[in-house]
Amino acid sequence: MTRKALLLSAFFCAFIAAARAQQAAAPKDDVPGQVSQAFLVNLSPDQRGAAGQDATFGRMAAFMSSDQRYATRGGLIELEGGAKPAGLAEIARGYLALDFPEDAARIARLMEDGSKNKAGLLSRAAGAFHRAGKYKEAAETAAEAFRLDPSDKAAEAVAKLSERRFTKKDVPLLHAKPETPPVAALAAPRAAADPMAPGPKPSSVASRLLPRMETYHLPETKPPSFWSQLRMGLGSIWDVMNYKPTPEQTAGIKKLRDMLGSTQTGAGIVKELGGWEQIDKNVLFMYEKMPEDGTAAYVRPMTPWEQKKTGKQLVLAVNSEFLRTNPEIVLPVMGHELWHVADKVNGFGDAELSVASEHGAHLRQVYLFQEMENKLTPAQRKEYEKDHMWMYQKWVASLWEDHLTTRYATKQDYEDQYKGSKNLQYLAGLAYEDVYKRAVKDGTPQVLYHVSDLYANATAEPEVSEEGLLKEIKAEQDPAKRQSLQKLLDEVRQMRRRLFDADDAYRTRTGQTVS
Amino acid sequence: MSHPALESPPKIGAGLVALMMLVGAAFWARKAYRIMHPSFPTRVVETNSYRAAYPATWEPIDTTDPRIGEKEVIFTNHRSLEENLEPWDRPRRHMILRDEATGYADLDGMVAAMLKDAEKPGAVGTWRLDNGVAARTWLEHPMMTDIPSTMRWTVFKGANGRYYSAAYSVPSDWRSRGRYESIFKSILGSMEFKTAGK
Repeated sequence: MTRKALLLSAFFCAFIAAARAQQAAAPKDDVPGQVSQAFLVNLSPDQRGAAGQDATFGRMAAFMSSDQRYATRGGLIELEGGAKPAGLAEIARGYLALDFPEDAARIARLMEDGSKNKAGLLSRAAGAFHRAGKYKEAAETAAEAFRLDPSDKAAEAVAKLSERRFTKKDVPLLHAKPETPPVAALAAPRAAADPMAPGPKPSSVASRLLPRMETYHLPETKPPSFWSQLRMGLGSIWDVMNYKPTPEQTAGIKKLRDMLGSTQTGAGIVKELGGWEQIDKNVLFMYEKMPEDGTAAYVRPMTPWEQKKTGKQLVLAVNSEFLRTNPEIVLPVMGHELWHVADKVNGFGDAELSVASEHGAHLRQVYLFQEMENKLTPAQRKEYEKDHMWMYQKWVASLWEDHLTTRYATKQDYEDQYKGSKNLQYLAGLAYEDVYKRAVKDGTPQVLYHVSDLYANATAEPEVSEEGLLKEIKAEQDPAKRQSLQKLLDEVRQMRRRLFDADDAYRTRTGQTVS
Repeated sequence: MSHPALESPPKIGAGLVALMMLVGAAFWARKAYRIMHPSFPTRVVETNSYRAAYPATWEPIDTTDPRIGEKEVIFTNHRSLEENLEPWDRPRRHMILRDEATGYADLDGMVAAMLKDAEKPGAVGTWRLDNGVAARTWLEHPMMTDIPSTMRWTVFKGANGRYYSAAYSVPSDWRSRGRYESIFKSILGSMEFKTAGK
């Protein structure tokens, strides 16, 4: 090698070294872009596609598994060194999106006290701590944010609510007035009296006093009052004791039973119950006039007098109004109720298992709805879509079919499927956001989540979960109570296993597997 | 002169019992009042046509996501079904607030249009919200599931000339009902309406 070539190589190396040193010393102006990049490199191509272009950190994080989140966190840690305040704030926002409030708070504390970003980030980190149940950290971080920005009402709220949680002290209720008077308040005077009319009485008293019924409620009907439930309860006993079906009712029940037996799902339930002969030994099927309370169908255990009179254990009653409704619409309801019979016969009749039984019943209803829908002509389908009960069943089936965010580009697109029913549009909007915001995963859990949600809002029926029961068992000191809780846990597990096994089988059979 | 053994044990006066019952009832009423009339620090959600305040601890609302849009905003206390909260806050509660634009002749016309697909509606009443807006409201009993349920619908015209509808599922428990009707009504009452470009 010549001297000239050596000199050239030396210059070249020196140039590379200088360029690298300059690069390392330069402030990282492009940190915001690098934060996005750190998210994007940890998403699979499918996830990137689903998140869409220009997705926010939160949106991208929503698609990540736990491992992906940790990998992205590693990427953000690498970006921290030498980042400017604006870059640090962006990194902290990334940590918040990934659900690492500890890191976000750590970064925020590195910023100058006068920085608006600092208070805001600490406030958001406090909120994230609170939601994660880390109340002590939430209270401390929120207090810090509130000291920096006394106008931050969210930080004040989190500080007080979190303090209440971890100190178990009852702090005074929080009061805050809107910062500015509402604009419209200037335009119209405030009325002296509130003419809000009282609504119907809650039915919890009735549900405590009367025998429990697994009921299916008709669309466009009022909720039953205590007296109507009492009347229905006593009336039901009277009807059973004096049961003499009309020829029309006998034919109606026969038609429903024949149709049910002709479907794969219905035949499966009948088989599970030991065949019609066995079912008839235990269950009395009947149409019943259900006075203006909206109950569509129910299953209940018989009283001893009824058992003595009929020799059976359970009543499955269907509203006599169904005699005038298309059987295809009623059939899924019948299957729903028969599933409650199956649960009771199989020993899952405990009141605490009622929501778990509803999960199984709703899934059977979906399967039967799909089987019925597939048999309809386009004209029939159009006609049936005018019926609220049919449309409700269609909505439940759409939750079960899942992939809402793939099938519908926007929430509005999904809501448009239920034009003509603003109440179903309301439910559709909620469901879409639940999936989009990853509160619930696609697939069967999605429909179960909504069934649980509806029951939590409308009944006092407790939903027991494996996680909750495990906590209770751990905390329980009394051996007898522990044993009872353990038994309940075993039953819940068995019910859920049955439910998911059946769901897998149906999805496989119909080619509707969840990918 | 009576022997001490023959004396009856000291009696608690009826007045004292009544007083104790009154005190107990007062405490019970105070607690119920505080549950049903909560007061929260608030945060603000802003769309192109209004600003509204909602409890600061509730889920933050992002109106910039194009897939969700800002035409319909959902106020949700939380999304978990297993939060370790007081019984009245444990179920998740939600209210939808929808910007229905300007396509109605007047508020009565809007009520008539909304009632077309109503499911067993009750009587239409009037609420005067905190911001002075007179809203029409009614209950419906739709088939949301296989158990009875109640929805409250509220419609009103904002000071910007736009129409809005709001709906929520009314809790069956009386304390939860009082609490959440109060919260949702206060959210609607906090609305400040914006005219185009402001």
